[in-house]
Formats: sequence, C-alpha cells, structure tokens
Amino acid sequence: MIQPGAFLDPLGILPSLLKVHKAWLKEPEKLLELVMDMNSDLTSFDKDGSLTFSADQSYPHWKAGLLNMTRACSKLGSEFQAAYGRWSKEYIRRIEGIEGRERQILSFLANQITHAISPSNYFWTNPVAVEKFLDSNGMSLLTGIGNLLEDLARGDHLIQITDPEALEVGRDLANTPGFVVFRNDLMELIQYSPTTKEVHSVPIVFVQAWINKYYIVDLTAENSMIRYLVGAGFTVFMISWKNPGPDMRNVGFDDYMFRGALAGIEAARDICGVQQVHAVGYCVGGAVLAALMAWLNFGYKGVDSIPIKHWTLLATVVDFSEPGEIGVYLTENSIAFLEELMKKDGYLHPAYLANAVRLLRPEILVWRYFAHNYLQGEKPPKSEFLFWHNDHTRIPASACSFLLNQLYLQNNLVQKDKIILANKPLDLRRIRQPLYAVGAEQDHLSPWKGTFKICSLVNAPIRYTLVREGHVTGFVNPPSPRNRKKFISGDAGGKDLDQWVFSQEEKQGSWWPEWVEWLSGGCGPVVPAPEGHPKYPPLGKAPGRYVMES
Amino acid sequence: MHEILAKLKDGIQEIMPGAGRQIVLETTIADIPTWDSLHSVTLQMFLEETFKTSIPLDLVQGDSTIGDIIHYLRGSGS
Repeated sequence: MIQPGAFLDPLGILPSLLKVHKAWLKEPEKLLELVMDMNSDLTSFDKDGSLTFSADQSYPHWKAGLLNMTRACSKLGSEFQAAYGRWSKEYIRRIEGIEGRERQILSFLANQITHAISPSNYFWTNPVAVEKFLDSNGMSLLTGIGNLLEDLARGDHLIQITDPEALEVGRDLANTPGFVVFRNDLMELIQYSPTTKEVHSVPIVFVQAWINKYYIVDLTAENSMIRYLVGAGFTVFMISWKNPGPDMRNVGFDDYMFRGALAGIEAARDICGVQQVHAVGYCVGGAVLAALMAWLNFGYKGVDSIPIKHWTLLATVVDFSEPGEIGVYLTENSIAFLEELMKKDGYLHPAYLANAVRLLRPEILVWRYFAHNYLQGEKPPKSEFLFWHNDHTRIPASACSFLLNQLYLQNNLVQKDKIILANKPLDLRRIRQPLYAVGAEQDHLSPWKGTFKICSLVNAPIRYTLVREGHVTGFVNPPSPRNRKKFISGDAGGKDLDQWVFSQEEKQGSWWPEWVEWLSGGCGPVVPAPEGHPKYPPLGKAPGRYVMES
Repeated sequence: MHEILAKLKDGIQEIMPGAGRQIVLETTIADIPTWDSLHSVTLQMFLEETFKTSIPLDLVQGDSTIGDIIHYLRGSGS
C-alpha cells in the first residue's frame, strides 16, 4: 500500500533519518562518545604542517600567494570532508535498533553529502580550477559556464561525462562487420560475418540488456567480445533492441522473451539450419533468457524439443532477495512513483536510470565532471566505456513495471510457478540445459552473490566464473599480455557459495579463453561457415538502425 | 620520475579521496581503499588527459602497481 506523502519522499529518507535520530537520543552516552571522536578528528587537522606550500616561482607574487591559499583551503577542506565521512559512517553504523534497509538509505544519503562537500566542487577550494582561471585570464570559467548552459539546455538533468563527439557508433564502437538479417518492431537481429572458413555448427545468440544499448560486448576492435568469438570460429547473432517510444508503452517483459529473444533464436536456427543454439544473456537480458528457459522447459519433451542447447548468463541476477546497492531505490513507494511518471510518457525516461546509477558512485560519475567541466572549463574526456554508459535508452512502461514489481520487489522469478506467461508457469528448477554463468566481484548493479544463486536453482551442470572486476570491466576482458585480472572458475551446480569459493584456484588473465573452450566442447563439429539465407536477406549493415536511435 | 609520481598521486587522491598520501611504487591499485573498477576507468581517462598518451585499461586494473604505470608513462615519452 502506498504511504501518504510517498511522492514527496519516495525513498523514505525522512522517516529513516528521524528514526536514527530518535535512536541516538536514547543513547546520550554513546552520542557523546561519537561527538568526542569527531572533535578529536577535527583537532588533529594539519598536525604534520602540510598546509604550507612553497611558492611557485613562475607566478607573480600575488598569484603564487592566491594559489597557495587555495591549496591550503583545499587541503583543509579535504581533511574536513574525510572526517565528516568517517563520522557519518559511524553515526549510522554504531546505532542499534534500526533495520538494514534504513541503514542502507542513510548510508546512501551520507555518501551523497560526503562527496558533495568535497572542496574540489567549489571554485575557491579547487586549486586546479583557480590555476586554470589565472592562466586563461578567466576564459576557463567562462567555458565552464558555457558547458553548464549546454547541459541545462539539453534538458536531461545530466552532466556530460564523456565527449559525445569523440566516438561514433558503427565507426569506432560496435564496428564488428555483419548484417541485420531480421527486424521486427522490437528488435533487429545482427549476424556477424565469419572470419574463419569453418565454424562450429551451433551458433551463439546474444540476448542483451534492454535497459541500455547492446554494444558493451562490441566496444572497440581491441576489446570486443563479439569479434573474439567470431575469430574463434563461432557464428554469432546479436539482438539489438529498439529504443522505445510512447507507442511501445504496453510492450511487456513477455514481449522481450517471445518477440525478442525467441524470435532471434528461431531466425538463427533457420539461417544456420540447426535445431539448437547457444544463448547468452547479459544483465536484465539474462533475466529474460532465464525466464524463457523456464518457459521452454515447461512440459519438457526431450533434449531436442528445446531450441537452446546450452546457455550463458553474464552479470545476471535471478534471485533479487539481495539486490545490492541498487536496492536503495527499490521500495513500494518509489516504484509507484515511477509508475505514475511513466503513465504520461509511456516509458521510463533514461535520465532516471542514468541518475540512479550515477548516484551510486557520485564522486566519479557526478562531482568529478562537475569540477572538470564547469569549474575547470574542460571538455569531458573520451572514453568508450562512459560513451556506452551515456548512450541511454528508454524502457517501456509495462516491461519496466514488471521488472521492478515482479522481479526486484516481489522476487517472483525464483518462486515456483508464481509468474505465468503465455499460459505457462515459470519455475527455474525445470531448466535442464547446461549453463555457464559469470559474475563480477565488484559488480554493484548485479551483485555476484545474487548471480551465483542460479547454481542452486537450475537442474543441470553449471560452470561458474567469478571475475575480480566490475559490471563492465569484468566482462570487457580481452586476453592481452598486460591482462592480469584474476578469476576463479569451476563446476558449481548445487554448491554452497562459500564452499565453492574456497575450493577454487585463482587464475590470472582473461576468462574468455576458458569460456571459448567450454563453448567449443558443446557447439558441435566445425562446418563451412553459413552463407546467406533467402528467407533472411541482409536488411542493412551492422550495427543496424535501432542502436542509433536516441 | 618524481614529477610523474606527484601528478599520479594528485590524480589518485582526486579520484579516490580515501587514498591518503601513502602511495609508493609498490602500491597496487587494489591496495587503495574504496577502489573499484569504475575508478580504473576514471584513472585511465585522467592519465590520458594529463600525460596526453593512450592508456590501455589493463594498465590501471587492480593488480597493476604505481611503478607499472610510471614505467609505462616513461616508456611512452611522457
């Protein structure tokens, strides 16, 4: 039930704040102890005399003095910021009698404040901004104001975190050669051109997340997972989702399953002339794939009756009981608030999701660019990762509502037969096809412990790989002489998480070669690479039309 | 080398305010408190901007040391 005033405070910050304050008032002695700790932090500022800076001889006396004063203020501000950060953490950690959810929301709030008060966010305490201002006779700040006005004029309430002109989709990114071979109103299917004379008979079909663009697995030529797979002798297909408009408000999760994933898989089977494919799901694309697997396995009639021979899940949570950091946004009230917003447009505006993700790391996804773009007047830097992160997509109201309510809030995907789609109840325990699952230790959007839970649900051999990195860098992980990323990998079906971790040996480098070895074992003998299929003529060159839609 | 180290320390301090100043050549990126892979992406951009050279992401991953980064930057003529 929606609480009164929910739309003024959808995350429930105020009641949590009041609760923790009240709890502290019942513990005056502990509170005094905390205040004393804070005081001791404050009185230890500049004990090492590091607030004194030597004058820069290249500047006139007054400029050098001004810069030194700025540096000293910045240093002092940093010490205060660090002390505040420690104090606010302790304020939330030490108090008893508040729930995990309340602690999480208050930690989130404290984190926002701690990073907002960083001295580098204010002109006179940002030495680099002041130095650039002096060197450019004020032009840097003028440029910064221009950058701010440009961002405001765009109207998406987002700071530009990467140079949008520096890279281009189709030229620098998502440039693995191929053709769109199938298109409907929800997705385009890309078939990548083979680079080997022979390929494994079983093709690979990617079901990417539908809350952002597909090309995280096909960034540059050097780090493209797609290019790597094609080079290893696989026929690879990619589902590229349409960026929805208001007319797609009723497109649901089941549409992504059937008119998206299943339609792509059927086309790939036709083109390659095979009964079964290997399917890969990434993030919420993986949730669609898992739901589809459960749906297909209802009324199982033998191995060949399922169009998917085996599958891979990358950064995919199916058990949302511990959604990780993103959980801070997920309450009945906040979801009702979003649903109300979506009623008007028919979709979730990309800025909501983008801001939600950015505020989980405000220091590097918000404030760094505030200082860099506005105070220092610099152009945002070039980065393929942030370009992709910044290339937003809308989410249809119906599918978004299903994802938030059925999966995140009620966790129904792991409940037996709780979700019924197209007349079949879903139970992940019915799935019998071998699975390769990959999670990343630092993934704050798809926490790896949540991704591991599939291992106790699916009734099939499962190999799980845990990479040390995060939601993106764990998966964009090409082999290279410099790659020293660490991972563990091993059979995990039905295993307890701690026991599994303990029994694995750490390896170094990319996990891609091991995955390819696993795939090669199950993707059949090599056959001549498939040529065009008369039913699926090329409709255009990869990366196609839908990925370009803004 | 000292100049590169000083700039690198400033950048790390800016990107990861919890880093402190106790950064030496043997410090790995993962040793820095609060580090995660998004910080590596940000550090990559900082280095590219500051030293005007292309930085592979693998160079700034968790197990790279400050010494590795300096060695690369010196090799690239920065």
